Amino acid sequence: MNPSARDEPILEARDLIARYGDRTVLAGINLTVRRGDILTILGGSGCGKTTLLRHLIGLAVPASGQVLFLGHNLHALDDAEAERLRRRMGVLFQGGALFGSLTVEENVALPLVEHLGMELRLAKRIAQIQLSLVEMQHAAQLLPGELSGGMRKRAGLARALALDPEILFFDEPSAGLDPITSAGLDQLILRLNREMGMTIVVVTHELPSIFTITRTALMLDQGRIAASGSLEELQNSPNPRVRQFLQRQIPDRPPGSKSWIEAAMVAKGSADS
Amino acid sequence: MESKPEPASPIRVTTRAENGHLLVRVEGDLVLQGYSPELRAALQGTPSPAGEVWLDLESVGRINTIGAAALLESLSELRTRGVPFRFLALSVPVRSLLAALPHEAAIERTRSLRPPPGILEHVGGEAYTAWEHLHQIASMASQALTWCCIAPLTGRGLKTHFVLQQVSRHGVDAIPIVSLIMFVIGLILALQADYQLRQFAATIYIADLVGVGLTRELGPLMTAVILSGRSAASIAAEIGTMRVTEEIDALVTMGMNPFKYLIAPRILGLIIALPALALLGDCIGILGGYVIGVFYKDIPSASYLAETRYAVAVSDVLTGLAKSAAFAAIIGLVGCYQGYYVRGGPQEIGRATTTAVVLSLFLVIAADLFFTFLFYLFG
Ligand SMILES: Nc1ncnc2c1ncn2[C@@H]1O[C@H](COP(=O)(O)OP(=O)(O)OP(=O)(O)O)[C@@H](O)[C@H]1O
Ligand SMILES: [Mg+2]
Repeated sequence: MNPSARDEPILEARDLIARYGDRTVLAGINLTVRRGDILTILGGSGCGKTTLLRHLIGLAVPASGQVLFLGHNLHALDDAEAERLRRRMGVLFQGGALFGSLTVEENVALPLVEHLGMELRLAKRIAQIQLSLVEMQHAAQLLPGELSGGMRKRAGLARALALDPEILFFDEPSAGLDPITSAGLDQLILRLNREMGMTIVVVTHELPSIFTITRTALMLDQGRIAASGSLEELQNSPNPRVRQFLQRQIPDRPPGSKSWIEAAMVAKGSADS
Repeated sequence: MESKPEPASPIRVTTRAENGHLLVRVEGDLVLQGYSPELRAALQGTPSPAGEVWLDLESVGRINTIGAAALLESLSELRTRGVPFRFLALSVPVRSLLAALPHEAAIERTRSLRPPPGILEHVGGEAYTAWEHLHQIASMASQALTWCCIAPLTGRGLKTHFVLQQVSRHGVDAIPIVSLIMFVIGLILALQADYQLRQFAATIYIADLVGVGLTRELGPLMTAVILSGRSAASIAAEIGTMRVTEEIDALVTMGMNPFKYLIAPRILGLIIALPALALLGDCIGILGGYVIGVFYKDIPSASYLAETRYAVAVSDVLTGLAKSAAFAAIIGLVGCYQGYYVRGGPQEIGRATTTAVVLSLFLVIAADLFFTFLFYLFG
């Protein structure tokens, strides 16, 4: 890959606003993902990370603003073109989202057959190789219902990798995995990035993961980007909530928010006699 | 070694009025087993709003969240009545638990987060929802139509084996139940016809009534009713599950249009399967009539068959099949629609399945009335 292509923006969000009903979850997000980057999206539970990811992937239509993938707004294209562009991205969903009626191997082979018109037998052979990449070759013939949560996730990853995407999205890849599997997944993410030049966007909570994989980070808070940049920049952020998140601290109670219970407790001293 | 938890010591509440305030002293364990309404009663029985309540919780041994919640609830009642109170003394467990509990302000905020809608808002909301449903169902119908009829012409057609799979699931697999029910319907029709006809000594017309009644009306209608229960439910549950487990999202992100891969094959499969089932049902129903006519009413077999052939016109069969194709479209569309727009968790799948069956039954029968009326006017 030539160096100029490396920094080319691959995904952009401009003034992205997202609402559920009349509740605004994202209030104006601007971001750029450059080719070859690993972007981690951080933030407290319920702050809108999954929502942001769904908009970046083009699964949800923004209330206003736009998302550009390789310079195109997926929602402005006609179906056929949007589908062609989507084949260049891979997504690993929280639960793997494997097709329940197909075996693991068929799940991975499906995009090859459908998009490349590959013969089923050849597609299955390739699926085997993809599955061994995530150490799932032994489970190729099983149905998704027969897998554990972690296995489902790895099979989902193999499927997301099947078409050799340029950009990979992960929603909490290590949630529900044991520390060793989860560390293995982190290593895999790094390898995909380093060896295949894949651009990667990860939503995660896990501090060890954050410190292992992050190249650029972005922290969401109250519907906006509270901080973005390298991990060092976030750790030195002027915003205390950003620092606390990375240091695993409980935020201080804002002053003046003492409850009436506490007020009654303080009064105790004066009542003692 | 295992040590059993000690039983909670019961709560004892003593109250004493002193100058200007009420002293409430609580002893014992404020936990589930020990919780008694006494404390609340004691606090509620407090005198004039002018008086202050002093709480002495020094001798509370154990406290858990249930006890603390009960205590807080009583205190907030005091507060709304405008009775001032203070803690005279707190035991260590009480102090630390109270400090760890969420802010009262936060709890109050969650309570008032979503005020119940007013009547106008409610009606407006319902109307908007109905409009949204109509809009979504129309867009699904047009997408399905595109993928079933127009896309094949431009070379972006459906995969035949996806459609055949559905024909097999909703058609072939339904043959036993459809056969059984239509045979019984044939028997019933023949008996009913005989009951009317024997007054005129016109038993041979059993063949006419059974043949025409089945091919024009009951064959298509009954098979559609069976498939409303069988296929609309299974399609709604299947697609709803795929929605909840993000399989549909995965299809979209893989650049595979769910209308092409999921919806259109199901609707088209039904449109192929249901008329075929209806035709089969017609034949088996006629067989049922034949059994009654020939073996019970002793009509000669050849005359029964000849009468049937004479009575049933090809156009009867064709109108029946045309109707059943329309019923198939209704069943498929309703099932897919209910499944596709499932929002939220698994409990929604059950609701969607029920709605799919009820709605498709209703729409099938309404459509039947419409067609029958149409043929009555112009046929
Ligand atoms: N389908 C929906 N309808 C209505 N509100 C929703 C919906 N999905 C999410 N929300 C709300 O939007 C907010 C953001 O949700 P989101 O799932 O994006 O959070 P998150 O950052 O991914 O949280 P977590 O880390 O727990 O996964 C939440 O407060 C949630 O209640
Ligand atoms: Mg999430």
